[in-house]
Amino acid sequence: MAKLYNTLKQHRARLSLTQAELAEKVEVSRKTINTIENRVFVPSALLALKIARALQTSVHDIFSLEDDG
Amino acid sequence: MSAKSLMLLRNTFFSALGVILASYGVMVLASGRPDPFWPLAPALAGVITALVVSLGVWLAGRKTAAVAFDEYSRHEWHSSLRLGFWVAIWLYPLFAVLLVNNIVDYPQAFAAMGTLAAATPFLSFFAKWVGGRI
Repeated sequence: MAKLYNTLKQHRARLSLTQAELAEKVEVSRKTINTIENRVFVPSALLALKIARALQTSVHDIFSLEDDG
Repeated sequence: MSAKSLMLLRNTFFSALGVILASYGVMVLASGRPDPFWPLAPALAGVITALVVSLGVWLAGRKTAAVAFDEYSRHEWHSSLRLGFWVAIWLYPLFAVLLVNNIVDYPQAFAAMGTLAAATPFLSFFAKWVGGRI
């Protein structure tokens, strides 16, 4: 089953944003960003697009499918 | 009121409500009475929780409330509701056995099933809070 991989942490670090700062930009709680980053929670397409916009990149650059066989 | 404060308020009142409802249900079974303490207490606790959380949302404003009740917290709440649904379903066969064997009577079963089923999603949310998931 495919799992969602993300490079959120790297993109956040590129802009020197903390989880709280990114959360404020996309109007969610810090916990939400934390759970997405740790692959606990899979965001909706809308939230993924908001995160990508806040990180000045595309959804494809942040999220990708990871097949585990 | 900040989003963090609103989340704390919501989590505290949801947790307290879960504990009150579950306590009532457990005490019904333990005491053998359908009214182990003031029978309107569970309903009053529910109404107070609804009023306090609604007041918190009103004080925080729409934008802040949206952060407190964001996608992830709604996801976790829905997961708690799903658990509550299945617990409510399984309470029927469980209490059927208890009734058939005269372990509880109908007034006790009514009081315990109602409060235990209602308590489940709030206790689940409480457990998630304690476990650092919300």
